[in-house]
Amino acid sequence: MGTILTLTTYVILAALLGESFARFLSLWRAAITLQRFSSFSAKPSPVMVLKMAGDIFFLTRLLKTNDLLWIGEWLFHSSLLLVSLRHLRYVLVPVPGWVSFIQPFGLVAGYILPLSLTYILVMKAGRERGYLPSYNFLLLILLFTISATGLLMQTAYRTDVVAAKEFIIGILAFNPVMLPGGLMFVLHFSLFLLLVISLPSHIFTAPFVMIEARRHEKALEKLVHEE
Amino acid sequence: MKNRDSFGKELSPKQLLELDACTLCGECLEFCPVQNVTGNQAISPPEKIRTFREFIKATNGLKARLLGPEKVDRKLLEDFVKAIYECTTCGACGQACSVGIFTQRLWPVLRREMVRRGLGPIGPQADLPSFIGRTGNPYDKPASERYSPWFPEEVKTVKEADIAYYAGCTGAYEAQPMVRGDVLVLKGIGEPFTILPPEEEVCCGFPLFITGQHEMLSDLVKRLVDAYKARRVKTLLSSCP
Repeated sequence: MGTILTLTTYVILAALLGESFARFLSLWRAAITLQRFSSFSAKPSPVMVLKMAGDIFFLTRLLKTNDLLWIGEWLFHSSLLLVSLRHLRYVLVPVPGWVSFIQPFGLVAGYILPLSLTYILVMKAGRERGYLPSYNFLLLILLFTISATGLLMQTAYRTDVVAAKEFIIGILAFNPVMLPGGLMFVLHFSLFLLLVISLPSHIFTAPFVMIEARRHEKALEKLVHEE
Repeated sequence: MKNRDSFGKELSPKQLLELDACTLCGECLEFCPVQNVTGNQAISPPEKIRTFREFIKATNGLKARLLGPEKVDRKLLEDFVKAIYECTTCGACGQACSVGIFTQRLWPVLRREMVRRGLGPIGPQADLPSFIGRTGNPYDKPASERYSPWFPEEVKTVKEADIAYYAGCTGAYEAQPMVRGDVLVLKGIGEPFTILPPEEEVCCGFPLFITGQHEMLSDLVKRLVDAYKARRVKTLLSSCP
């Protein structure tokens, strides 16, 4: 099982690297094209930069259209970020101070994560004329299962975290070691790999589009209110 | 055109990213006038984006690059064409977009892709280029009738001026009280203004743009820009589009 998981991880990490590289090239190409043809050449003002940051970190565009869903989405995205940062302790040696510092926050976020996912699912499914494509539904279920197995390892089925770290570092150092015992870790790690290959493309591209949208809106404002 | 041909050719790099950036959250459905009337999610903005992503994946995805492009199902394409042309291109979905996708520009470009494949435009829209080529307007009405029914006799225009007024085809042929009012307001302001001769004030190209028929666009724009430049215009007032 350990060998299969290790080999699968290599294949998926290679795919992720390839995908990230392709995304980076697309972003680069789009940025160059925009720089060349954009009608808006002024430097973004501090207010605009704040608005851009608000769009990316506080999902302010969603807040304007659906404040109830926004609560769930913001809690989900921020807790997922904290939980992901908390997991850096498994891949970094030595563990940086800031990663140690955020551990308690990451732990709390670990409880919020499945709750926020449930909230989003209920909000989406319970809405009249709601829209929830099968891909998004499966992604929500997958994230919920990953967070639930993570919580179970924290509470009921405790895993040897030292062995888990040795296993992950072994993979990254191309020196695979024994898989830690416990079905829950195997399930959690396998589902994580499944998540990596089904990552939604918007996590790469949405921040760029959000930034560009603010620039574009400003350009339109200038066009309409030109003196 | 074969259904294996790349689907991303008409899109700019930014628009390709916008397609990728859609989270399929569906928040725009609340604001879509077509959804309000039909309630048909198959023609909703995120479904159109999702389907178009599938087309791109089939012809440009990793598998397509390694093993050759897949043929896109004809029925799926026809359904997509129907969906893309049922949109009003009002852009309300973009205003409500949680990411900020500029959909008002995206939909006409997806239509252009369908036109390139010979699948669009649909219905009477296909006549627009020949009408505009013949009479300069999408209503196929004579240029000689562009101003005569509504332009107030007491208003005098000049040949060259800083300000020009562009009535536009819809105003001139279909919304005459509006453009008559515009001209009277300009007279009231008292600043001299110019207006192009009826045969020179051609369609701005908007009907062609939103229906995905972009071949004549640059020619129309160039004709108008050159005509206004020749009259030394600095400010263009317009009631259309």
